Amino acid sequence: MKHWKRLLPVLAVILVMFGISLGEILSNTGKLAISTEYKLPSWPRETVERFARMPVQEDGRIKPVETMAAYKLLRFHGTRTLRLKYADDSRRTLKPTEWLMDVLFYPEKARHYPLFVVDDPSAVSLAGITPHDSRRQRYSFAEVEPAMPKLRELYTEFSKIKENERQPQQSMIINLAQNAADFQTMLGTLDWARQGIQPGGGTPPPLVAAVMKDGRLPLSAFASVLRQSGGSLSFDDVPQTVRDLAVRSQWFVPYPHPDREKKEWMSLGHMIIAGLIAPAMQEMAVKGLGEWESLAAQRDDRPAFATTLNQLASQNEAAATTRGQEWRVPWEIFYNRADFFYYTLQIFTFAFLFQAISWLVAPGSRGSRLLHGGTWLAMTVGLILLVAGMVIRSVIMGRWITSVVTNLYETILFITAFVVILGLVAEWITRKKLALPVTAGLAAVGMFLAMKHDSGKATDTLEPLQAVLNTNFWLSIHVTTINIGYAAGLLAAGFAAVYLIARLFDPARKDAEFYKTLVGCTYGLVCFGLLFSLVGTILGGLWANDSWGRFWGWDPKENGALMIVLGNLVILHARLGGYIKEFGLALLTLLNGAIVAFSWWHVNLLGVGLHSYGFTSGVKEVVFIFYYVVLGVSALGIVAWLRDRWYREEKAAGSLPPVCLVQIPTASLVRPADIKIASRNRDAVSLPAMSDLTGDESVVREAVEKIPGNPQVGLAKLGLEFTKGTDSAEQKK
Amino acid sequence: MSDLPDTTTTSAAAARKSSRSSLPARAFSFMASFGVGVVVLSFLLLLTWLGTVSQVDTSLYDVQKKYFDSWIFIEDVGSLKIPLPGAFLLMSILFVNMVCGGIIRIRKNWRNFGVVISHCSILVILAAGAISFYYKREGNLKLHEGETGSLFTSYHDRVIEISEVGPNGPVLMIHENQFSDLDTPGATRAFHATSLPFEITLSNYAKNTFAESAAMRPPPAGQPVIDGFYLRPEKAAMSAEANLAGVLATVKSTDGAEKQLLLWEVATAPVTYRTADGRVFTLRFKRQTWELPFTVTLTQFTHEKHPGTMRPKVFSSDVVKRDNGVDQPIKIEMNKPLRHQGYTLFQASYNDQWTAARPRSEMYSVFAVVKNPSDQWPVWGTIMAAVGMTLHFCMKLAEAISRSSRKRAAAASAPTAA
Repeated sequence: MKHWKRLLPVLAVILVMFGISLGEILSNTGKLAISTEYKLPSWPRETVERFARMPVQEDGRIKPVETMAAYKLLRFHGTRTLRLKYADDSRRTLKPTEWLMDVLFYPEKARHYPLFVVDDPSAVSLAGITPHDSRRQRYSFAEVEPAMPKLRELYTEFSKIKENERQPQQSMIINLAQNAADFQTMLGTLDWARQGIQPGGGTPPPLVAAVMKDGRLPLSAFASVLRQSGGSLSFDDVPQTVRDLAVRSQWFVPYPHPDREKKEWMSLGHMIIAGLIAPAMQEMAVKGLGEWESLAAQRDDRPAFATTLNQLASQNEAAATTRGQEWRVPWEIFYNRADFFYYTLQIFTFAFLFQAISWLVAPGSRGSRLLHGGTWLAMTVGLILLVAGMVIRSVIMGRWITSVVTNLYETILFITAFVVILGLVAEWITRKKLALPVTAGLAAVGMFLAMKHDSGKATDTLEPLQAVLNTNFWLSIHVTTINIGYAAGLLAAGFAAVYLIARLFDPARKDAEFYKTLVGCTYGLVCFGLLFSLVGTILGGLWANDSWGRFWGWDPKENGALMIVLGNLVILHARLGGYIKEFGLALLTLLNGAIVAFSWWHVNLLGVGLHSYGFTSGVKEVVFIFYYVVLGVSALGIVAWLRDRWYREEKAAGSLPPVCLVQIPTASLVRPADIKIASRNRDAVSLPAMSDLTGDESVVREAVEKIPGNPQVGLAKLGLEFTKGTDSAEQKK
Repeated sequence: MSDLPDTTTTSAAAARKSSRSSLPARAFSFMASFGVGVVVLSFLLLLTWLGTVSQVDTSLYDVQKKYFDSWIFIEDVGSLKIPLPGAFLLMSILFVNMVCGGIIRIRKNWRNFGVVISHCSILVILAAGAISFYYKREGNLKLHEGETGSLFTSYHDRVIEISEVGPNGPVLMIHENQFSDLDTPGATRAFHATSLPFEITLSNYAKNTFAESAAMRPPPAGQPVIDGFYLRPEKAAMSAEANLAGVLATVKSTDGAEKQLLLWEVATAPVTYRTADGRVFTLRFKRQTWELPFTVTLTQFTHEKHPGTMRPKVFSSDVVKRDNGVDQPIKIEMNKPLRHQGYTLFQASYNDQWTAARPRSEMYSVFAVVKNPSDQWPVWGTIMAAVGMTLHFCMKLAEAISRSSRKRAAAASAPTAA
């Protein structure tokens, strides 16, 4: 409790974090009620599970429907859960797969769900949509649809503006226009299965007439008739209506191609066209299209629906298994359900709280030890979960488990993991209960950023690699090494920030060990960061030499890495040369943290260079907030440093001649302040608070020995020594 | 973590000692100082940042020329023009600083062994950079399927090649850097060679230009028009390779007759000049080319995308390398170049307009070709840096852990003793 003031900034950070989280939670509540007319019974759990696990191909890889649905919902809605509130006050919570099933099989109801998130009501006003009464509200497709012509017009206009020059409202309009168009396509995915087509050209031939239902021709029946008659259409003969229906269902790709050599799977749209024009595939198409038509017809007959779905999914899974592609799906389902990174965030946050609370109880007490042990445990468990999640991602993507970093999202996870590893090692070495809270705080922020990045990007973060990155060897050694350097730089900046803030609130620096530990950790991490940044940067050069034919090309990402190396070198050599001490080390290390952020994120915002594999939209604000925080803390640190300097000079000018250090005659009056004054222009040496002392050498010696750390060092720094047999201290220099 | 040793006293002692030394000793002491190292590294940091953010609106080539291939440059900050040291100057000073301070003056003991190795590794890498800058040749070789080639073309280096029609071939090559400063009105430079029966004076150089028809678009006042065309300067392209340079040449024969010629690197045919005695010369402004000491035949190019996307998964070229009559089939792909006789061929790009409508004969693959005498030096530098720094920091870490353990042991035993 003695140093409770030191906790104030920490508690402030906790409050801010919880405030942000609370704001997020609140922003997702308060839905407008929708009419009971659009109410649907929940899907049976088994049916949802069967659909969720069905493999589909999207963005160049095989994944379960669940993943695809989750990212679509995230992109439209901002979260992976859709909560519906009906006018009769009843509620329904939809997970992504359930939502997708509603969209596919009950589009007339799903179009009324409050789906599209728009942060600013004035943005929707631009498109002529009646805004809701608060920020970050959701709009249904039924609300947006009438405004789609206007949205398209605005989209065309705003797309001409460079992305980094767009106003937030313009970006919102562009997102809304894209999302509404995509959702419109999704709503019409199974139109062909529900409606079939209307044959033109007068009376249909008897074969066709025999399979028509209610005057409409199901496409499976159309394909079947063609097959029975031993014929097929040319692509040009396929009616435009059918082509339009096929285009709408092209995004849904559930069928492994029967030709195993072909890596592209078949979409529902392909299946429709194949059924009409490709005799070799007509049998498969007739069956497949018929199953989807059955599903559309059986939507209210849940047992029959489940049977048909099971049949369809089993066939597709079997086909995927024969191609060796199905094994990834269960891993991905496990990964999705385990939600490793969400729990990691919670655990790191609790670890931070454990440690913060442990400061409030008596040091050394059982409670304190328990809480500290709890922090260790939480950090370790969080780290294991985080690493497990990353490794499973590599397994799903069929990469080496060491190739855990392939895009910006994964850099956040990896860097957070290494921040934790480095922090645990620092705590193990120092045992001062300082490294853990700093690490836990940073780790929680890291996981929070990962979560925000995932939801902000809202596209699958498990991406196939670009050709140039498609090498496990270089991914394993260069990318990981350079990111370990980033992690060390950021953790060092974290320690430095705590040092500077503490200096502001603690002018006396009574607990010298506290500052010594912080600076020691900072220094150690700068050394560690230099090693990995330098080696990582040069390894990047070697990779570039094998890929692009030059070791170094002054590409922005290469430059960013070099800047971190140079920053670390400046810090270490300035310290070795005696140009900086504790404060300078902390200040420069914190500023080096900004360089890490520049290298890690900002260079991708420049939009130039060969390393533009990462998504950057929307992160500019976060990067600049980080810069402002770094500058703000640096400024506060400088204020603290100036204040301490001014205080020392003021006291010195008012009491003792500038050249006088301290005179300690026998039986004279010795005050702690005298020794402090004597230390001006050198490291400040704090004495414990005590009343004025009088006495002989032994009394003075006793007082001086209360100087924290090694008293002899403290005396040497003052230029003083006690000479046995005399009763005064002399200036040595 | 490590404690901080007090280095102030040693620095101060060194400074006092230095003040009593001779001038060369003081100069050495200055060049070996941490101060010089810190200042140079800080400027390099600033320079790297400037060179990074400048790439937003300037081509990488121009950025390199200004910041990284220069001894000194002028940076515009608002209306202020601030002279700053370029990377050449800074790296040269850094090299000397590391040799003096990090190799010669540093205490040679086991504690500093790793530091010395690390400094040596950076010296190796800096030396590799210098050798690469002065002696590296790089260009590209474009091959259609079935085509054989050995001539590669520079990305940036241009020359005026003057040849006499006949068996003699090129008689004079004027490198672009000998006249690229003639971009201001009135600036001229004359070139002559004993093998040439005329003198050639160059002027009106433009880095990126278009040979415009004066009939289509009248030239600005003072712009020379030659055979109905003039060089219309264009804004430099963001990608320096896309620039199309041009220059005016005034050929003056021995009898004093002058003729103006327009040289543009995109010209489909060389400009010809006939002397009074009937000798015919051609002048061509072109990218410099070099010959490989072996030939390469492209047998097949493969381009695979991730299914259902436009994202490239693999692109590779199956080639046959022929050297001294020996054929060797090799696959060149991203991250797997062909290295032979000091040359390295990388898969750089390809014609991505391959469609069913176009014959495969129109498809081609482009290889980056590099000859760099210090190609593999950075590998050794990396190994040295990793070993040296790991050694040094591991020793520091071991010391810190040991010190921390001793302190804890002392703290634990203190109450018992009392």
